[in-house]
Amino acid sequence: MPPGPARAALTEFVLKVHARCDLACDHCYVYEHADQSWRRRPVRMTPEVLRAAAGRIAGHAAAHGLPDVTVILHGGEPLLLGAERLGEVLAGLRRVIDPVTRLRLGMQTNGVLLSERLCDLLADHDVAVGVSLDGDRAANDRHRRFRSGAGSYDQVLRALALLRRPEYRRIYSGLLCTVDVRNDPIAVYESLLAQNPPRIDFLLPHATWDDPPWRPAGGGTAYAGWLRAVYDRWRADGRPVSVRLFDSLLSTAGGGPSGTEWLGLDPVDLAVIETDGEWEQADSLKTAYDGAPATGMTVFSHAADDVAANPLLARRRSGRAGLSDECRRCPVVDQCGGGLFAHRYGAGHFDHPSVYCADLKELVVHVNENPPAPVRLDAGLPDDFIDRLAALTGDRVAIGRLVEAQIAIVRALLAEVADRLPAGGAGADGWAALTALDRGAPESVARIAAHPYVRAWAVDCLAGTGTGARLGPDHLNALAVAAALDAGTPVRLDVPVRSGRLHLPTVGTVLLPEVGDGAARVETGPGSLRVTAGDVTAVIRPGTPGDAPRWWPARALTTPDVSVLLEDADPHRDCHRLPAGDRLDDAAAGRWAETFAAAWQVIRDEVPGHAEELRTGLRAVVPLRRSGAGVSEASTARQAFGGVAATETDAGSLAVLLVHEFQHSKMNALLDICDLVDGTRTIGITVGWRPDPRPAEAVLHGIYAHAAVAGIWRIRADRQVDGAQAVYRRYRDWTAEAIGALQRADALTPAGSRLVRQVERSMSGWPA
Amino acid sequence: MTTAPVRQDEPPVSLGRVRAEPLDRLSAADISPIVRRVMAAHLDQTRIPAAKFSSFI
Ligand code: SF4
Repeated sequence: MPPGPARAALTEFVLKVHARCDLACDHCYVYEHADQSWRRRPVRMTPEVLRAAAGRIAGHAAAHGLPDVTVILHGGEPLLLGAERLGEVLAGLRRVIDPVTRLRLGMQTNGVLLSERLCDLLADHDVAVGVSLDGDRAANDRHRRFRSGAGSYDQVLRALALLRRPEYRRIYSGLLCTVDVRNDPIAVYESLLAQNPPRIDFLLPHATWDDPPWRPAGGGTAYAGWLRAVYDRWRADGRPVSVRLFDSLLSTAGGGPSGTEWLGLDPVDLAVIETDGEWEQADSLKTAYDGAPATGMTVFSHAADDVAANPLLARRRSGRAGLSDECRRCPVVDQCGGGLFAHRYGAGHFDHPSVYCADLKELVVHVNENPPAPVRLDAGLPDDFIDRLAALTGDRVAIGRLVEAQIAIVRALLAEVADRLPAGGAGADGWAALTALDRGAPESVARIAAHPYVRAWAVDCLAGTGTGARLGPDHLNALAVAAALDAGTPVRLDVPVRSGRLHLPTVGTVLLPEVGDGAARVETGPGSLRVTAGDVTAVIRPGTPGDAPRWWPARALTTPDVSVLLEDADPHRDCHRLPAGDRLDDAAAGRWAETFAAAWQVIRDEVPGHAEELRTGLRAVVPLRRSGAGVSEASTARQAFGGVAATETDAGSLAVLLVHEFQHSKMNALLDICDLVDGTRTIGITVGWRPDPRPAEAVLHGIYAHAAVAGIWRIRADRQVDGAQAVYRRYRDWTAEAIGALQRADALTPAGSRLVRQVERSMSGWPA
Repeated sequence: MTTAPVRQDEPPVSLGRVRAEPLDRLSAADISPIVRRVMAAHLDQTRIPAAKFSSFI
């Protein structure tokens, strides 16, 4: 497990790039509330401020070894910068920060000025675009109006239609809706959903104890009532879209993080940089009093570390300790966290509960009492399936059942992606070819469906959250070509090209730098591919080893009894917690092949049952980019069964990593078909391997993986390997303690309890 | 995605059928519960968006 970022680090920076707005919304905290500092600030962020800000952010990321930072362009209205200056800002940020860490760029806009040209620019720089929309026309135009009094609804809808286009869909980040209890909650929810956003959040109008929110007569908890109505509908709908507010409450109910500054006890690790370079605390404080967000520091005079140490910022990072007495004693404080900091202000200080306290309390209790019901699937599993999967000696047959269930799941996801295709649109031909192949050569379709990153792509597509090089529904055509090659069936399809690469899962990548982003015609023949794009034609023999000028074949890690892909090209492999490495050169691929072969011998020798399991379920190994820390790291992804990602390491370590990570992969596949954790229990469990309390599902994962790792080190200890005894004890103790803690927490379903009991039984004969 | 409410009293969907039936014969009733379950788990995993800043989604 890599070390998390240091507690003191800031990871999120809001850049006020333009201080004016083309709308005059009467609920806006920037202009209409207590803080009036906008009047004295420059309208735009100057190049000097931007350079200094980017330098401070990059320096902070480097000093703290941050794996990523988020920079959000905000205003006013950031699009008022115009395309040229916006392009300079984005390029400047990428130039300075990209070489140091992964930079996530975001922008919140009212959408009024969004154009094709701006969308192209934002897509080029991979900027996630959030749009503010308060619901249907009547709801939105109640507040979101131009200075003339005219509503902005039509302009916003035009912007959203642009963002829904296939070429821009990946930058569409979501909708932000400010609640007005005079609007009908269901009409608002439905009108937001109709815009097909990947994510929604509902914000309460900014208010304080000095300036409380409007409430209808007798409407003591009108805001809770409004949000409860939306929650109930969202839950009944089967949660068709992520709603940050509800997701946060469900996450904290299970002991997870809140993920938003306005709920929960997560430390707030964000700071704002104003157009003149002043560091400010959270923007919403503008609602409290004039000058409330000020820190007295600028990007020219102070580093981000100085800002993080500011007393009010430090208080917002101190969890429960930073709250009022009443909040500290509150039964729902872990989930509510006292609400947004600004909403606690009154009579000159922040030592109050939120001005929305009664609403928040009612909403949290309602969500906790009405969690989403899981959908049940019938995987046709035998009664003893859980016991077999819990056996630490490994069970090849049980893994075979998981593989079959995964193929069924991927088939359902493919069918859903196809179901949402516009008639005759990109991807329709691929789907037709794939369904024909499924009748004539089902085993070829199954082989492609079993590739871990096909599922990762399908889920990205359905969630509408893909970014960067990730592919849309037209990737169905690439899957069909890959299956057709496997089956030896001729097809002719237009396959998408991203950043000059046309990727055929499990087969390889055609290099078409001339195309950039677009498509190329692919025709399959006996053992060959003919690729045409404009004037370029390439004929490729996929079976021939070695890179060719236009061709990177997929490489395999092969031993006499196992073969898995060395996956360094599929764009969807980058779904792991850690960043995937680029295409390996031949020397690096050769080293991987040697290390894997040696690691395989170790696994066969030390834990032969796990070797059998891996032979059945492991499909791909993804090389990870080595982090600054230089330690071996590895990861599995929830949506990529059979894929293990790892940094380059020695054979003995790779053996342990493969067994460890495949346990996570098995657990993910089991969770797909079986409810192991009781979703209604609110807990965070302290475990030996992490400093922070963990939700039950994460503890279950840890138990399952660490028990297997302890099993390997037990064998090594038996064989008197230097230091093995201590490692064995550490993993065994972590596992045993976590089993006890999880059982005491009473957070498992009967199936989950059975699994844990079985793991405990398997370990019971192990030496002290 | 459709917003038809999930009916909890329906029998669970058979994964065996989804694996065995040709892709073009799968109905919404076959695939929709699987998709809902997978996407719900995905939402649970990715609940925590890239940014905590409340005035950005
Ligand atoms: S519900 Fe009220 S008392 Fe409880 S944490 Fe929230 S604001 Fe504080």
